[in-house]
Amino acid sequence: MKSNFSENQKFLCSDKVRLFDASITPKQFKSRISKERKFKVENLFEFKRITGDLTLSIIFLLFVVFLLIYFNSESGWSARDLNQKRVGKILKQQWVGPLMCMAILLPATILNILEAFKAYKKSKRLLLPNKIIYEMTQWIRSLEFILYFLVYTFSITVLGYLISTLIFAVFLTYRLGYRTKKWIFISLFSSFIVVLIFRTILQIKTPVNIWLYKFFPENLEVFMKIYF
Amino acid sequence: MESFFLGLSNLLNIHVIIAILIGAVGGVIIGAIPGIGPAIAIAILLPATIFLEDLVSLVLLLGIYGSAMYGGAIPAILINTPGTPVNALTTYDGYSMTKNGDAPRALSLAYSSSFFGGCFSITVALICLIAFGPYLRDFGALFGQRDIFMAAALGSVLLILAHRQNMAIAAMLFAIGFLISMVGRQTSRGVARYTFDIEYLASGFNLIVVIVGIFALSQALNLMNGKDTDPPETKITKGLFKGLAELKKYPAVAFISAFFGTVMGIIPGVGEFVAQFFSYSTARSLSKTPSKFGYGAPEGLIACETSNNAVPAAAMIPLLALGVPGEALTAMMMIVFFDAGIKPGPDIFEKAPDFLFSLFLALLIINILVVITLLFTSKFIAKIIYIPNRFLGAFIMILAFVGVFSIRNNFMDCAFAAGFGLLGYILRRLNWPLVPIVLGMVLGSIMIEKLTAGAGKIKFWMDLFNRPVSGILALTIFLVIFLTLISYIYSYYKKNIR
Repeated sequence: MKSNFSENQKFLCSDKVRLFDASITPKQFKSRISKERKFKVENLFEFKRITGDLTLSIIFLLFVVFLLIYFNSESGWSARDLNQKRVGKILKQQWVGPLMCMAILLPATILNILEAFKAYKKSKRLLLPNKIIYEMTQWIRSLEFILYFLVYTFSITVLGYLISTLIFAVFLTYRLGYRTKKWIFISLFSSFIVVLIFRTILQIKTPVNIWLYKFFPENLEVFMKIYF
Repeated sequence: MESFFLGLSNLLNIHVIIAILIGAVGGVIIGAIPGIGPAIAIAILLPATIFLEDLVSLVLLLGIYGSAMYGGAIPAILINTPGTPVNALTTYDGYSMTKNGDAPRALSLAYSSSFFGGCFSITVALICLIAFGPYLRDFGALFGQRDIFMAAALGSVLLILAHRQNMAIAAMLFAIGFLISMVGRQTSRGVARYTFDIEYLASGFNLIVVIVGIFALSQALNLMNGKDTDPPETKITKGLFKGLAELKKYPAVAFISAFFGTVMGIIPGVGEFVAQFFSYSTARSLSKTPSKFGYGAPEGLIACETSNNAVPAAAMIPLLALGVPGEALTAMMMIVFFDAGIKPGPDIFEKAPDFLFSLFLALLIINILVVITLLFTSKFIAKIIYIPNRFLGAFIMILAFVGVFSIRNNFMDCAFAAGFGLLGYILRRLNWPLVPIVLGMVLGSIMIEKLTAGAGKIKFWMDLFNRPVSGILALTIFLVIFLTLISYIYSYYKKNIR
């Protein structure tokens, strides 16, 4: 077997240094932990707070504070009538639902932020890497695709469902890096099938007043409006 | 028995038969593609079902729900990637068997176990319907508005407590879902709640918009922002029938796992993961070779797959009997019930018993069809798992538009779905659960609806609990919370003081 070690690594493994014996393969290395202890079914339910958890917890806390500020005017609490003999008449009032939500939301959010902060402090103590900028970039990066989705949605009124879907599918396929003819054809074919199933066969509602269709001959315009 | 035959005859309709076929085969394919899963497929298909007959749409969705886990086992066993989240535990023993050169045996064992689990819970449901049918008609009289309110409250509590390691997050997201369902103008009084004078919010958030955003669009973003995996190629050689009879060697594991799956499926908010946990742990403690678990033990694979597939039929029971969905998928199906004008709940046993038989019989047929399909087409279906994730993401996004726009022909729905998609994407990245938001919306609106409807009979606070059923349910809520607190104190004591 060919060795992939660099000169420096070879030196470290040489007899002179003997830092470790490179001749031992991973298969030869046996763990002393018994098999039962290595694998735990409980691991399936394991939840770990990771980078970004505290940030999102803070955002949720701010959102809850915002809801609390507007609770009086937006939940109907300002129009409450508590002087009722029957409890049922109180329970019928419209603020009951929002109050029940806030009764769960507020303590849960406080508890969550405390736990998130505790986990953050622990990760700091253990010097675990905290790539918050990277995480936030990932959140913002997804906005690009959301923008494409919204453009696609609005383009349907201009170009129609069929043409917009074909263009959007090819564009996304190209944008995601599948740029060979094979993938472009697959995306064209698949998107056409999607239109065929949902619009032509299942007659799912899509916008009807299409700008482009107005330029088509009358028969074709009606056909396109009905089926595509 | 009359209802049984009537239910069977309901299925002899060409549209229903096509729905069974599409649901069964489509569900397997959807389950086999890592990254889609039944929740996304059902979310996208929901608006399409509005245009179909009630039984046809429900059978179609049930087919996807019931057969997706069969398909999910294929990538879990072949490439160590679960097709649906609930197949995660299958990878431990299934993939180990593949590494040992036993892929066909593992697949056929998974199919037979899934089939056994599915049939077990369907049979239990059918026997209960036949044996207790006449009594179940009186069952409706026991349940008033306050009782269903309590049942929904119990479901909510169980859902939150089931997220043991992230209970605060689950409670927070549940409350947010609950709050989302509150937004809008209350039809009875015409007073707006949390609309902030925005015209769009006056009609409230549509459940499908939220579901498509949270489940489908978020997953599309997740896949497109992620990387394509390069799974190892595994060929399925002959011998798919080999493992079918092997199930007979482990009857205890199969029955216990099916039992756990059925019971956990009935309890709202619990579902497949807890069923698997109990089944797998029990199977390991019963086994003569527990050290093999996680390294290709057939009992481990049987435990996971049997309990998984026992859940769908069982999960329909609280939905049909009480009108309380226990998980996201049954919550989505509830929308179809409402569109069909059938209100799931205790009255259904009296008003449409044949409909219940039709659903469970359809599920039984779907299970049979799926096994036959898989035994002969596994080689072809296994190729689907190699579709690149990012390409898949693009198509989920295209399909999401259909799902959202067709509900109300409103572009604002698409914009809000995109917003929920972003929220779902961030939650997915941080491993926060998505299901509490959807169940918060559904259970929250049930609670408020029932509380308002039953308010006329509530004079004092104690009237909420003075009916036998509501009293028992309230006591159960109290006990569940009390026991959880005790277990928390005990574990804290064990960890920090001893």
